[in-house]
Amino acid sequence: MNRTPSPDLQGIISDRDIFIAVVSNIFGVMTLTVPRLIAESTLSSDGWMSVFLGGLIASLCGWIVAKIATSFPNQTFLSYASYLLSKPVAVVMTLIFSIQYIVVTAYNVREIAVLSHQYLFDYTPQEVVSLAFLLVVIYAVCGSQAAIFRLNVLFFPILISGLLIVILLPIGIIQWEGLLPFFQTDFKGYVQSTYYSIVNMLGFGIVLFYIGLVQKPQKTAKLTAIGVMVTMMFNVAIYIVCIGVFGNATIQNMFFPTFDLSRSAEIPGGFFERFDAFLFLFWTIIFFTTAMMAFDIAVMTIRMVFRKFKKINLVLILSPIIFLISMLPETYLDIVYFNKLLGHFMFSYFVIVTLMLGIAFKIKGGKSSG
Amino acid sequence: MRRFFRRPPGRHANTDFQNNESRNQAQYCPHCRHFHSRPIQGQNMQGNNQNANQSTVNNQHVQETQNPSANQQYQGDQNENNQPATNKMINSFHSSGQNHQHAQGQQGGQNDHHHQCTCHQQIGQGQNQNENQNYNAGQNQQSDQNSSSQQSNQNTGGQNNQNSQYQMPLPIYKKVSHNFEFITRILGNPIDLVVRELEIDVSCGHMKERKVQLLLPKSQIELSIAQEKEHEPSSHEQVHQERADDEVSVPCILFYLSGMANSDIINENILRMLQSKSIRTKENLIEQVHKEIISVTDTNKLATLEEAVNALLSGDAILMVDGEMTALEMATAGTEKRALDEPQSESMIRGPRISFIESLDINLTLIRGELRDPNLRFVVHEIGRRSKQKVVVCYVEGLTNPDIVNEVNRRLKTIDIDIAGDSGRIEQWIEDSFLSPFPQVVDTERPDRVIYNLMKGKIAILVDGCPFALMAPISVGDAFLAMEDHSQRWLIGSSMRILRFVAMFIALFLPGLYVALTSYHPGMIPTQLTLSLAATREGGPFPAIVEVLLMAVTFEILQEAGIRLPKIIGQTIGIVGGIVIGDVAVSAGIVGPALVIVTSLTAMSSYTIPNYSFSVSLRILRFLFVIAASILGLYGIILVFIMICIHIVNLKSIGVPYSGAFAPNFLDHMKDLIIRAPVTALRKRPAYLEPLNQHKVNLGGRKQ
Repeated sequence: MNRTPSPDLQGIISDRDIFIAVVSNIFGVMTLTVPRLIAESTLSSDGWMSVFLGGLIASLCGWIVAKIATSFPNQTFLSYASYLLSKPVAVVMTLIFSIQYIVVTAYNVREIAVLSHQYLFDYTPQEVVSLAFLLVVIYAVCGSQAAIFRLNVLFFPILISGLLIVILLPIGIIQWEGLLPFFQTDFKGYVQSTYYSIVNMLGFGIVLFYIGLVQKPQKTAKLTAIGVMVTMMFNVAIYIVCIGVFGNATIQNMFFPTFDLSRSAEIPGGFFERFDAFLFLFWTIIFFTTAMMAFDIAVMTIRMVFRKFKKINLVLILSPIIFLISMLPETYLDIVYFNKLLGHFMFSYFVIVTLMLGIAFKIKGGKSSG
Repeated sequence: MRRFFRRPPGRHANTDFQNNESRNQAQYCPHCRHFHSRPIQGQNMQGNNQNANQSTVNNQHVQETQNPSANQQYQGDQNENNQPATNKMINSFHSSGQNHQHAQGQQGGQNDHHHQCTCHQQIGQGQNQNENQNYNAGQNQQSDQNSSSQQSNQNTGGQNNQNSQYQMPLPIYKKVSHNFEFITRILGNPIDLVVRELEIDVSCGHMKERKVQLLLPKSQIELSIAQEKEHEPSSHEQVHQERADDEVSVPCILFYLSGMANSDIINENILRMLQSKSIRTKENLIEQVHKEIISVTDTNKLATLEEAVNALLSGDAILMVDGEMTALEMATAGTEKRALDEPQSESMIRGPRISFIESLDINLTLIRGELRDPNLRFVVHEIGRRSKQKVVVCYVEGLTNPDIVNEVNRRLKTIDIDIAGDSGRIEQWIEDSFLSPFPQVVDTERPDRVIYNLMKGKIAILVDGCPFALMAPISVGDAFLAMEDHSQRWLIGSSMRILRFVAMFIALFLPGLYVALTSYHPGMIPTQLTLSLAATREGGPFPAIVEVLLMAVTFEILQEAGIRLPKIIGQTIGIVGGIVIGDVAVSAGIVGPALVIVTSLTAMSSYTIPNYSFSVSLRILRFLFVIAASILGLYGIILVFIMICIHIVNLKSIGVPYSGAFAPNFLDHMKDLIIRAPVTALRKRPAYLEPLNQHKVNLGGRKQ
């Protein structure tokens, strides 16, 4: 009830905002490419089980991480990590997270250019497309953090409806026999595809940083887990539709199988010859929310360590770095390789952090207030 | 600031001042809102500024500027935004002070103590906090009291304007002739000032000895004083005899400004009563006149000449009685008013057909008349140094969040301009971001819309002399809500509302989409349509972006011309515009026919938005989309869309998020935002305004 027109309102979000942030952050570039990665290591439609399993594991991890974070209400990651571990370890950990999120932002910035190059304009230089996108992200990050969550809420219906269109449109052209036979994949294939599925859903890692902003983190852990589950449902549906429409072998040779879904579907009514360009708008928004939150966390984590930095200055320093990183890979194969490396790193680092925090939390226990 | 001190005495920024000063004794300084009058100060304040000379005053001014804490006395609570305004105020204040000194120097010599602008000294003293040897302790105390009372006033909020801080009480003279002279000189003896001299009969009492003829020459005054002295030693019996004998009459003066005041009331209820009735005793004359004679309900007593002049200027009649230091102010204000009319800018088919007019009283009545809630509050502010307009903040106590009310009141207090003018200027003073294209305070001329929004937990601001009320805080969705949605059944209301949202998107995106689709993504629309579009545009010399901008600008020009032109000629514009846009441009081969459809559809769509200021901002944003589309196609459009969304979520209206109804609580507000749910389902007030009372309807004992 205490409304103050000053910046005090910033940083006070609700549980539901975390849920929405988790969902919007998990959907991203990987949603477009993950059917290919999973199809590579599984046979016919077996991959959906990996997606399902990966989702369950991810939601469990999300629940654990959120539980740890909610034990320290209204504290930054740095403060509770240095309580659980020690100050130097926490600082190093935070800075590695900053680097990770800087790279994630750069990856998103590059990927939008690739996507648009492939589907929207052939001649416009990728640098221009990336730069325009990055500028918009910078504009968003320069605002308040509360505004970022409001933006998530504002885009959430757009995101969900876009995904529903992606899933529902091609349902008419699914060849159901393509889904058969079941259970052909060996164990190794399941493990590998589950790994990719988890990597795809690592976006819930943002709760480590954003839970400090939640006003009353009571149901936050539950909502984080539910958020991961929801994305898992969508991913399973997307995967099944992809396999049904294209078949396993075709998907393995596609860059963005999910995006190609909407190309192959025909829109009733006949006004739009190609609907994919309109879906590109949805994907831009989806990429944008991911990049925005990644950039915001990068700025936030650096400012946890170096408190003297002004937000705007930091953003201005980081933006050229992000742009440079995003332009480093030359060909698309480089980007794919980059993506894989990033995925491996994120996964292993996340596992390390979770284990360390989890063990320390078990030993030391939570602190009720800061 | 020092610049002013070096200014040569002959040059003044204020020319009025210069003209008046040669012949007037008393002057009204518009900058500091004081009366500077030589004889009065000579009489009353003589003891206070014995040692004051120009150099000390200059010193004080310099100290004022150097003392940053002085600002706190002007405004109790400031935020950063208003800092410049305060400085400005101090600036003008100083310059005016300097002007006075020069003026007086010119007039009566530099060392004439009585001519100093004492009010400036007083304020300077209050700010400096230093012991100033030029003043005696009594005055120090007075100024301290002033400043403390100012601060307490600001804390309580309410009827006082910050400008009134500078006022120094200038008491009413006992002699009506002095008052008369003073007022006529302050006002420059205008032709609309009606002065009526009359005499009140006092049936008993020894008034004879105090009787003074109006506008007596000085020698005669002395004579009468001498007569008084003669009478004083007379014996008790003599006085008693006189009292029994004669019926004396006391001179008094009635002032009012014709046109501003209702002369019927003055003639019937004041003048006639004064002439027909008489007073029994001479004791407490003004009290008796007030209680027994004047038959005007709203009658107040005034102690200072400033109040009297201000009351006069707002249309009230002033009665001054000889020998009394209080005057009577009678609320006779009544100018000619426009008749109540239909709303011109927000018409609708079903619903009340009444709109606000330029009179504040009538507007308040329109609100009060529909909302007979004892908790309805009107907080009055006086805004405008010269215009002294009344600005009223309406809200419902116990419903509207008090933080909103306090914030609005605080912002209104920071307004410091000479004339407030239209409510649009007030809006721009109190809005959160002046860079935003979106209105952060919504205006309306419909009383029912104001009441609907008050019931939601918002506040309304009414400005005297303006038929548009302001409502705040608002969110983006508010611009799309028409009052008619609630008059129609919910299905129809919802359809209309969705239609309006669709129209908003068309108005915003269609020209941009046209540019993007024709020049970047022709493959997205059906091949046949692409071919026919290309065929019609084949002869055209311009690229799509130029065509669109050409047509859009043409349309904007037509629209602007249509507003400015008199109604009789206005139809010509319609015909000319219709032909120019519709036919000639196409047949001349400048633009394609498809673009005509796009332009006209866009134009029509932008008119479906019920709020004019919002639809104007959409019209501007449309150009942004067109330009973005010409550079990056669809991708540019979506980027601009995202940017506008970012802007909206960062924007605030009176401290409340502008995306209010959409972003923090989406699902709860869907019921009365995108659609209009059945009235029985609309039980709650919007949560983003944090009203004190959540439920609109009685739940009948059920739990929510």
